[in-house]
Amino acid sequence: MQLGVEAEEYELQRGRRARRASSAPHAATAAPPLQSTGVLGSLKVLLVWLLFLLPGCYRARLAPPEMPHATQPKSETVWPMFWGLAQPEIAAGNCMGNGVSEVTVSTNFGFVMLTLVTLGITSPVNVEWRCAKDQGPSGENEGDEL
Amino acid sequence: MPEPLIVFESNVRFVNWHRNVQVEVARLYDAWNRWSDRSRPTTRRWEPGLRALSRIVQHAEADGKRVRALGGAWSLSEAAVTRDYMVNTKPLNYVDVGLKPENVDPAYAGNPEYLVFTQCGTSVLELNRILERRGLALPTSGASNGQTFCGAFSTGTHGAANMVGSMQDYVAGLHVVGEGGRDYWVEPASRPVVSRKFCETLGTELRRDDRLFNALLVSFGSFGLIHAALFMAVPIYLLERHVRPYSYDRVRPSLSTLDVSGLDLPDGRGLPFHYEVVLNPYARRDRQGAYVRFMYQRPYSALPAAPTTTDTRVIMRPSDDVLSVIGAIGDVAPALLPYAVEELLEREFEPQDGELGTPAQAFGSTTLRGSVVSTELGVPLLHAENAVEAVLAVANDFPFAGLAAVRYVRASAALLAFTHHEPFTCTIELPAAGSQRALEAYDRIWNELERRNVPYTLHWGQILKNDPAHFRRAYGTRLDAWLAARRAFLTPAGRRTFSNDLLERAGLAS
Repeated sequence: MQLGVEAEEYELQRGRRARRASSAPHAATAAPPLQSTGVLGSLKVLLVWLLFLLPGCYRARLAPPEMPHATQPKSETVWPMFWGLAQPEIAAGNCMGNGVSEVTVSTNFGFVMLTLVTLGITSPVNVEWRCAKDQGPSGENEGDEL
Repeated sequence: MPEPLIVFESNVRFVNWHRNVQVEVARLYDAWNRWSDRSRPTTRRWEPGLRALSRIVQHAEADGKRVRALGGAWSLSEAAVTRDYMVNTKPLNYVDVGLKPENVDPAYAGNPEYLVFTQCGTSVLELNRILERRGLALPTSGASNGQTFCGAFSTGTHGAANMVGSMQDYVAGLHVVGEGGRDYWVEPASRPVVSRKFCETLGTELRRDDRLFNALLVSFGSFGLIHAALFMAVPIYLLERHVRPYSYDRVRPSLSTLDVSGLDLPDGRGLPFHYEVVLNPYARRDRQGAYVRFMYQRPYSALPAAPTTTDTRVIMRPSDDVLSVIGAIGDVAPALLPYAVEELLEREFEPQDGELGTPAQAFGSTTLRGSVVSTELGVPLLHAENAVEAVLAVANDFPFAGLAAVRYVRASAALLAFTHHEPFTCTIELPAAGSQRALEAYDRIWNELERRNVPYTLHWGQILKNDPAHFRRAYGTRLDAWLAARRAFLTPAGRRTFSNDLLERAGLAS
């Protein structure tokens, strides 16, 4: 099942949903339409807040589009120190000189608190990467020997 | 001959793409087409990868360990998993389009230029690109392109091209590394494709055996490590894509008959090339809640090139954790789930009317990540409506954060294909946000099908029943033939080496 939404498409669809709200189909059971019930309205608000609060990690991902991966994700927690004066660098030796196909940088509540408590002396982050595949002159690893 | 590069990491936590399978693995190997000095050969580029697979099998046997090949890690089941040695095959991506005449058996009646040799790690994405440049295409594929081709057909993955069949149905031959690290080329005796010269070039032993081939096709690595496959591509074509909303009552007559005359489709009464019905289980039957996604196959003509840009785009996406959160919230507040499913379907199934694209454009990358579960039923066509009613009955009694996607696939000859029901298998996929509630819903659905006497199979790459009796009922004599083929190909020690927990739970490991 293909499930991907671009930010600009999401904005367009939010607008369409607002116009359709008055004619939304009812649920299959005998229960009243969801949007007309006060309790369920409160639950929807709770749902939105929980979606923001419950996820444990902040992530940012560098992902060139349509890039096949050669490896499973590998990760390291790195510890930049002394307000950035000491800067960790990960030598990803498993990539066979191919470079990476994807990098994800994440932090979490514990890392944020550690940064605060140490006044920025250290500010750990987790770095996860996947390696790129071997390629040929045309892009893919294509041959003509058989 | 130089030594192949062998690299592995010990005591690794393996997590699949959909984050519902997590296992501690004793060794995770990466198999590359590299020699031990990390160089790549300029000819026979597949050779180091093949030798690496052979050597890894020997390692496993020497250490008394089981070994399993890992492709895209797309499976939602434990088909690719063992706690012993796993081999990441994604780097093995050599592809050769069109066989030379001397490599084709004289009896082969097809066009050798359409035969494609692909190593096991080549993804569907890579194949789509290569084939499009050559004016070719895959006859069918799954909904997205992140799987390896070999991993996809090894579990019986299919699309909705109802007259084409599943991905394994256009595979013509397989190169497998078995016991002792010895390798074999396996193809049907009734449909020989390659010549002895081809096998000499690969340095492999030829085995022509219909039963072995049909057993090996959908075996999720249980006969050895598949090094490569040979498949039949087709001339490139376009797909004219449509998405239309209907009420469930309006699509219901088509479920067990494939009679689409009541849907007023553009090409009239004929069944489209691709026909799929996605259902909101919670919509009222007489209101919009069935989204019919259908495609017509059209002759290829060059399309305007998509605009390319070197600009950097920053896109805000749902977090990797959103699906887990939705699943968790659904566990405690199931009354919210129908609302969430309706929102999802309205966003994902905007009406579409005749947009043209190549197969690669139609079935592209999955961008949403996170914890997903899914099971997929395969039922005979005549039982399709009853099976869908069973799903809807369970979902309305026990809501879960999922939906139902109904497709149709021509019956497969592969012994353990879950799409083996003649003449068509109706597949009903039930993807959901990962949660205990969704897993319980699947149990209830399976029980309801059995209560209604609906025979069903399950996709090997999705959530399965832990019940050997189910697999015996689902496959009957096909199961016996598969077991016999495996016993003939592997010794007891070999069967153990290429088994895993899933095989044991299914009663297939002996």
